[in-house]
Amino acid sequence: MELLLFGLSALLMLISTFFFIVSGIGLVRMPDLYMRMSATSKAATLGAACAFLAGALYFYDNLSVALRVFAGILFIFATAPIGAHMIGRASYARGVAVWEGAVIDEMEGCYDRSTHSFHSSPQHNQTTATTPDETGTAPQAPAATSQQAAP
Amino acid sequence: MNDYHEGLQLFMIYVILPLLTIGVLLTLWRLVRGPTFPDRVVALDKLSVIAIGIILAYAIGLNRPVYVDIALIVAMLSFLTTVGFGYYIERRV
Repeated sequence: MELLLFGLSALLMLISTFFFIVSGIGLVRMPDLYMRMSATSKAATLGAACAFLAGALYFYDNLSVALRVFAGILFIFATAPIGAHMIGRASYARGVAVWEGAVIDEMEGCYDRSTHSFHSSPQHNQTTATTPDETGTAPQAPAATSQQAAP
Repeated sequence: MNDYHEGLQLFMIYVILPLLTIGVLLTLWRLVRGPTFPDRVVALDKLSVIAIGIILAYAIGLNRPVYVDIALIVAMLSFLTTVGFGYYIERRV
């Protein structure tokens, strides 16, 4: 029984180091900030979760450790996408260039620099840029406000 | 404590920690080289996530269950750091 648990723990730790190394290679080799962020936020999160599970399997007779491990996995899975989205949004708003081989940039011209908010279409942004008091035409206004993120 | 404990602890110290060092070195390369400031922030975020793995490997390798708490705290601090840097990047003109 103990041999099985410890073997599983060693295997999970090996899987976690594999994911960490893969995300490191992605961080070095990817040509673009946004692709690098996808490599770190997905692979590294899975690696940390596997490491937590390995710890839980090693301290199998200590139930409080298992509870902490559960909380840690839940916390990491909840916060890693939020942090990655936040960094990506901020760096796009700041003007970090996408890769020159990228086919399409759908967010081009949708960022309003005066209000720090993204709009759903570039046309709406132009209307707000010319007349800042009005919030766009009637059919576009609800979509724009729903897309607007909290400052 | 028996042979299984000792074998897994030696495995953590002599196999897992050197492999994790490879990931740390790759991340440090991006942290030093990164052309833009958000690249460095992403590398720093990943460095703290690898630190969680290192702390858990130490917790198994030294047989200390208390170290799991430290891994939890490091996870929370890395999230706070990322959010703070996000605000800083966006508001800076």
